[in-house]
Amino acid sequence: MNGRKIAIWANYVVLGVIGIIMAFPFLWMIFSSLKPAGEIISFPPTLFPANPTLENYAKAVSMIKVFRLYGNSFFITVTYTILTVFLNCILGYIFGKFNFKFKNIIFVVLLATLVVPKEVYVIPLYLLMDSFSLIDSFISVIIPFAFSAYGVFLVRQFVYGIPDELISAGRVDGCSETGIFFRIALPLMKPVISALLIYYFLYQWNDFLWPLVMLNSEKKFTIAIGLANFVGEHFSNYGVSLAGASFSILPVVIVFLIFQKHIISGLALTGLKG
Amino acid sequence: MSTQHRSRMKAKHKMTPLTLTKRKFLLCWLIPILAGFAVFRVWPLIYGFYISFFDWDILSKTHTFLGVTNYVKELTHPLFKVMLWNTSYFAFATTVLSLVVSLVIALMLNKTTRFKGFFRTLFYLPNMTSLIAVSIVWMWLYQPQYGLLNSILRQIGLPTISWLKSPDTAMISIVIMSVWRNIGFPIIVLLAGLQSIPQEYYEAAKVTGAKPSQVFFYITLPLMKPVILFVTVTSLMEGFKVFQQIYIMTGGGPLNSTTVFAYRIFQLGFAQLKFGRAASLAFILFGFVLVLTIIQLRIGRSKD
Repeated sequence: MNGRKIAIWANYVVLGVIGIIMAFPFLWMIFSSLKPAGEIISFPPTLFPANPTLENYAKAVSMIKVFRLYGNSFFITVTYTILTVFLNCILGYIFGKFNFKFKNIIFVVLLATLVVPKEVYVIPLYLLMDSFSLIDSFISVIIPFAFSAYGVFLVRQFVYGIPDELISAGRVDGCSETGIFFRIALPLMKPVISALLIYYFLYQWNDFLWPLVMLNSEKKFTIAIGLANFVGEHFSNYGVSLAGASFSILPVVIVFLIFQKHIISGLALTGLKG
Repeated sequence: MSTQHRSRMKAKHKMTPLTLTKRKFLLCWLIPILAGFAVFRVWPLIYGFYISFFDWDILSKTHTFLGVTNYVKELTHPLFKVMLWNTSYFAFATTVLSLVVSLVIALMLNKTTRFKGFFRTLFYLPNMTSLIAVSIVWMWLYQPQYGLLNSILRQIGLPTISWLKSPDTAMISIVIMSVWRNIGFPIIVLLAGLQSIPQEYYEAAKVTGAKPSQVFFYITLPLMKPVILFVTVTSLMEGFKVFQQIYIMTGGGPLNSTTVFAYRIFQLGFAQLKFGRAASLAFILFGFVLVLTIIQLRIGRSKD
């Protein structure tokens, strides 16, 4: 049985090496960000900072206005996520439990919108927002793409599994249709909801093209755009650039570490059903 | 759910008529939401298509009808072949590399009993972080004078590479970074797919004395086909739309070696303010992606 044991150990070792390769760029980013300006460009390069300092982070806060960018990103992302997941859920519920004219055609049209690349939307949507005088506003960043059909299919699949008896029981008890949705169906949809919440949160936090096009005032920039602008001019300020990058990664890592299980199972769900 | 149960449920669906309360519910929710989709998802497509036939000047608000001039100008533009090559190269290189690497890793992970969750998390981490942060980190790694990669090469005594600064190496540098970032998702999906293969198949194979390579090619791979197809199609589609890394890391250069469709669309629209031209290129891109996806799905289906 020794050959097998060696094979199993080798498996772990290789995985460990790959793991280090995967994690290394981020570790390098953090180590570099803690080095003073002189040490960061020294040769041969040091792995751990010899004189660790937080000056890069302090400069990131003042030069890139990280906390304001955080605020903007959080507001946009959270609002978008809640709105989009809600729309997906109620739409999926309707398509799953109701019958109406043109239902199938409408569903196909909705799914078709998923195939179209965002770039095709950006130009006309920009002009549309301009006609509403909504350029450079958070609303214009959040609303258009909140109408995303991505989760509707998943929710509908899930809703098929909700027994009709539960819903009829609600009707018999005198509950309104809207009440049935909020009080009976929605609580049952928790797995799909959590998968979608995480998916849309990550999507919007990292979104770049649309906020870039829509937002003009510096004070409204998301963290992705603020960082991109800073790096465009001041990348040679390596320590601060890397500290800024660390800032942008931090919330995501925290969210991920807390919600790991949900995230992974949610992803597997979308992959297997897709 | 058994087929009996499912057909019973479907029958129940068809029997329930639209009562007044149900109509009110749909009116209250479905109609406004569909209206939203119409305004923000359907109308822009029509509008965008319309614009692509004009010289759409948004400053002077004059719109000159051009027919298909925009399309012709873009398709015959000297940059078109370059963009086509760059974008295709990026999309195919990242897809193939990601698929191979993540499949290998998923197979290895499937054999582990402990730490599976830990590794899955670790490998997925780059995928979740913002692309801008990843781009900054890799621009730093690729930095010719002070970056880690060249420093290591220098220490070993090998010649340094220009990475993002040379037309020959810029695109492949971006590919490498993108593969590093992207494999997390395929790993999770492929692993889930591998884990859904019933053990009985493998045991049956053992009984018949099949070699590991035979097991892989005749059992594992065919059963994984739908998942692999899903990963490939989505990866390719995303690859054709690549924008952020190019915008931040190379700005299309050096010497247009990294100019891709999405980048030029952005340049045309928001740097040169040629909205009509940008729209036409966007639809050309859409056409490509659509054709490619259809081809892929056909290939996937025919292999059955």
